[in-house]
Amino acid sequence: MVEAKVTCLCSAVKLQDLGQSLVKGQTVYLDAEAARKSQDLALTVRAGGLTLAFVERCTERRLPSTRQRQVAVQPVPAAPKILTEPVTPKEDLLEAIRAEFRILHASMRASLADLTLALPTSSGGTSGTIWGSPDAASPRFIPHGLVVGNATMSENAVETGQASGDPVDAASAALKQIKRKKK
Amino acid sequence: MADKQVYGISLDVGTMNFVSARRTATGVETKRMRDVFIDLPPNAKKMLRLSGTSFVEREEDVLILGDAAMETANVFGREPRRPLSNGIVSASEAQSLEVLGLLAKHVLGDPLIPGETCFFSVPAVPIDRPGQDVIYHRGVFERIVKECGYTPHAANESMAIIYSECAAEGFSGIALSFGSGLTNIALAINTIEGLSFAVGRGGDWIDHGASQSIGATQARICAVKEAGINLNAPRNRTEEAIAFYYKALLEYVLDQIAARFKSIEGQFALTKAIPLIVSGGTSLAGGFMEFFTRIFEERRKRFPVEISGIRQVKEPLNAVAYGLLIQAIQEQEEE
Repeated sequence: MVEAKVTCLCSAVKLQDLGQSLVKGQTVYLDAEAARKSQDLALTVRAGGLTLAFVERCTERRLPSTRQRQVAVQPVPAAPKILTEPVTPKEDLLEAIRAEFRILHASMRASLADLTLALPTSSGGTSGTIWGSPDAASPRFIPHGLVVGNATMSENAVETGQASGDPVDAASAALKQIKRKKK
Repeated sequence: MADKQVYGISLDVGTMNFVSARRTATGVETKRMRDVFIDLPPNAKKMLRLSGTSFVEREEDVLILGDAAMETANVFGREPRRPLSNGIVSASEAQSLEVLGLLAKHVLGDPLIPGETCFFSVPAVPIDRPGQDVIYHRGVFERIVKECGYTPHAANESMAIIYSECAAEGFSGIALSFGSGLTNIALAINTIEGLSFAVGRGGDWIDHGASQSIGATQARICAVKEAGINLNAPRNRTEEAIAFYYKALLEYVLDQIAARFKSIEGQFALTKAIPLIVSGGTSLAGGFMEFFTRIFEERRKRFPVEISGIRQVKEPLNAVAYGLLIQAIQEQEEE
């Protein structure tokens, strides 16, 4: 089929009657009949803005390929079978663990019993120290040196108040009287 | 009594405040420190000196204790730390024991004589916190008071209120100490403790509940409470939330008292009506007594003990320390 090969030589041109816009170096193939009839094309070619040649382009038809690439596929080895069986702990191991726990439990009970013996039986009593001498009999989990000797703060860190001593004195006297009566 | 030197001192160990009381020639002197602290890096010392803030210098940091800790925490945008939680030594505060020692030392001061008697308060075991006891707590304060140079004596917190407030009734009454971590309750007949227990709700529980319900911080709720609030006429959403939780707390406490007293009803006989004494920092809220009385009156018919009257102590923050002091003076004189 003969076609019109149009190549643009100027910076840009518009062929109104063909509905084409070309820029420099651009080549388009148009219907030969339409190109022959185009006045715009003829005018521009005469002005040297375009080159026009009637050409016949070759077309090649290829049949779709029917050969398929052969890919060598290695057979996947079968996954090894895992046999699942219910886990049953060994009785001797269980017994050893039980024995360990019994020893641990007994030692904890003994420690707690020691602590309990060192404590008073009543809660919130009005007298009596809690653990006697802190040096020998006290449990070790309360550290010594809780009151830092050289720590000082200014007096204004403490809010000081002053009240009449009458209520305290009256209550003290009343309490003394009750205790005297009881004796 | 004022002419001669009176020996004996007391220490009220509270979740919010440490209060000591001592009889002096002019009256009763109290010392209070807020039970909070904050730790800062050593380079903060200069700034603290310039601002006149008291601090305790240690090798690795500096500690600010008490009210100053609250203010400094706000400056640094931090939450102050509390060595006591729910009325007892806080398990989550590794440094708490040392801080408790410092607080106790600062409110107690030095003994006037070697081994001077010191009564310190211990809460009762909370009935609604299974597994919690006060054994370790008592042991810690026994040690601290002894290291301060005193002879320690543990005493029940609510019983101390009976000693300070019920002399006219022969030391008989029901004392309610609305604290920050716990609410302590004791029933006493003629100085004898008939029943004592605590419930695991107090001011902190109100702060937590109210803060959760309106999306505020606990510190904010606490500040609103301390700034002054009338429980009977809340002015905004925050105050209303606080009032709701106060109501829930009081109902819960009174119901627990009724249930516990009912369980021992046959074990002792009350020949006459006894007073109900209200104390503790949580009872400082405006309109508390009117609020409390209203809730109590709704339950009076079902209450297993005949109540002669309800009254609030004159100094809710100091009443426990006064009661402990009365016991300390007695103990010292008997020695």
